[in-house]
Amino acid sequence: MELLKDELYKIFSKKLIYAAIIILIIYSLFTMHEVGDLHIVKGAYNKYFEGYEGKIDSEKIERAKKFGKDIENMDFRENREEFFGKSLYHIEVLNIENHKENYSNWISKSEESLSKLEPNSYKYKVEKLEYETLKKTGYKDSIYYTAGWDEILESNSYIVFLFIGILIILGVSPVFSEEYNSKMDNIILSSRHGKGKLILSKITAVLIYCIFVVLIFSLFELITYGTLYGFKGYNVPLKNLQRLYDCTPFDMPVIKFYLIQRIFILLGSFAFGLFVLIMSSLCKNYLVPAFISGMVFLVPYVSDTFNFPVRKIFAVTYTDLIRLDGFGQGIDIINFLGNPMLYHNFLLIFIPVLYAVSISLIYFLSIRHQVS
Amino acid sequence: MKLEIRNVTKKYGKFCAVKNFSYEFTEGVYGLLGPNGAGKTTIIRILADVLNPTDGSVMLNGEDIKDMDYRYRNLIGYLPQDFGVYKNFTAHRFLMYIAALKGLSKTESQKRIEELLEITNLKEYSNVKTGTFSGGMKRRLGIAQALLNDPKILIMDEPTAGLDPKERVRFRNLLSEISKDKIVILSTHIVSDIEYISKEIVLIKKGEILKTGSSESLTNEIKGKVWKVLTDENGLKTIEERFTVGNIFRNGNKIETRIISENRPDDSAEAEIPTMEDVFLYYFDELSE
Repeated sequence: MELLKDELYKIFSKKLIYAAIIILIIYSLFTMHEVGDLHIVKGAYNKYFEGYEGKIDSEKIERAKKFGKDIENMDFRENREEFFGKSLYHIEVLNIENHKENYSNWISKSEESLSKLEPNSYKYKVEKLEYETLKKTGYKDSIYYTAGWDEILESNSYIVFLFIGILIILGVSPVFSEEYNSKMDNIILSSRHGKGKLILSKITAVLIYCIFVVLIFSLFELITYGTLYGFKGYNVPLKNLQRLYDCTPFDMPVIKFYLIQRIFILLGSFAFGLFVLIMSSLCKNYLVPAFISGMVFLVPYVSDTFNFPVRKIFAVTYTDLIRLDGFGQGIDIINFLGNPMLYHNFLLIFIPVLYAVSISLIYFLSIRHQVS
Repeated sequence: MKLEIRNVTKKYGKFCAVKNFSYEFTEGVYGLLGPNGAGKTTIIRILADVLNPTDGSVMLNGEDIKDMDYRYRNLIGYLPQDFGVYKNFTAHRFLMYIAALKGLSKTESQKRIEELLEITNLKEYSNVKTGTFSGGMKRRLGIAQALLNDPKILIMDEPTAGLDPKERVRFRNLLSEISKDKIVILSTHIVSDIEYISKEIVLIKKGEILKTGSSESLTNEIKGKVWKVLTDENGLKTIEERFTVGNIFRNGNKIETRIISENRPDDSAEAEIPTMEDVFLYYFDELSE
């Protein structure tokens, strides 16, 4: 416990970390300012939703259709906010109605395919998994005001994952390198726990630091988006979020999915923290692990952004594990040893294996380390 | 207790830092003496289990220290030649950290740290960040950390580097006090560190043992090879060219020299009683600090 406290002190006493957090938060607030107009629209949307939420019924559909016909004669310059609010609401109603139709079509087609495909084939297994998952979660059938949660769930893959990655690199790169550089490794390696408990303490300290980083930015998202859009809709089924989650494999309320998303971000962050720790255990100058880890983290992101072919080499990268782009938004299937597996289930196998390999490697490298 | 170095060799690429080195330590103070680059630090690091030999082994009471692992490290205290401190740690926090690394309980650590801060004259700096410490203060802090677990085997590499003369004396006295039931191994190129406190001195050159013995036996061996010669400014040049000169003392026009020579250098030369300084000069042909 004493060792852990000191390892935590070593990480958390670095002023650079706090400076980075402040800079990243200020930057984030500036980028939020740019979507100020959207905020006005959301405000109108929220106002118009009062009393009209819930299951989509024929009355709501008729009103939406009527609105579509009347729109040509409306003068939206007179009441811009009301016009936006009504438009967004009615478009959403019609989208949900379309989605219901698409869903029914897809289920029928899937049933047809399943009857034709060879039951032991990989294609059949994929089709069956998709069919069973979507059948279980059902289709989007209600309309709710969920703007806050839409933003909160999306902000990680938009920019917050970058902040998390940067903070992990800054905090974890010096963990071993600094000992080597300052020649403290001389004393550490000759001590009773220097080749055992200390390594475990460093790993635990990195885990706690990762929790801190994820928590800080999660709180930041909650506070800022919660203040802007409110927390309404936390208990609605995930599939009924306004954006992106129509075909989610997660059959659960938004708040539960949010917690699951945070746990996965934390699992990914710790995996990346362990990677940075491995690099740190190999280098004397902490700028080297910081640079290598920075490259490992940024190259997949840049490749994604600019659609570079190099991206296709790796099925899962550390960036993916923290970014969780598209996580829970559709049925993402991975071929795991010839069996189709939902992406999040695959991660639950992949991440512990990655932990085991990383931790073994950290032990191996640290125990073999000799002073020079 | 018997600590044994058995045929240890350490190579760095093609360079051989230690060649087939064997030696046995029992309770008492030992001095590893040799010029810079002799291989002392390499041997010390192997003994401290922070460096693996290319060949050979180190045994404690017949058991390989590699097999003993943490049981061996639990018995040692090590002061490296070079070590950093965490600049944002206070002296007290630093020692608490090392105590935790050594597996001491919190209460045990507190008590021991108080004692050692007193012994090393650092008590008033207990809550000062180590980043502000001078070289000598860091060295004293290093000595304190090495003694934290009351080690049975104390391994110190150039322990007095950076200490002022008064602190050196205090340190030597401290070692003499605590060495009764311990193996204390000091590596140094400063003769005065070990001259009066060592049970045995191991002279090392180019990674090999050149000579071993007590300070008395080593000085006895060069009896009749240390001379005092009085000369003038012209004669000094000739002496410096022909002999190893240990000391030059100018007294008016006269110059008194202390030289190392197998034979009497001239008729006026007077035989001197050899010191360890002369032993160092005799074997290494260079001046000790």
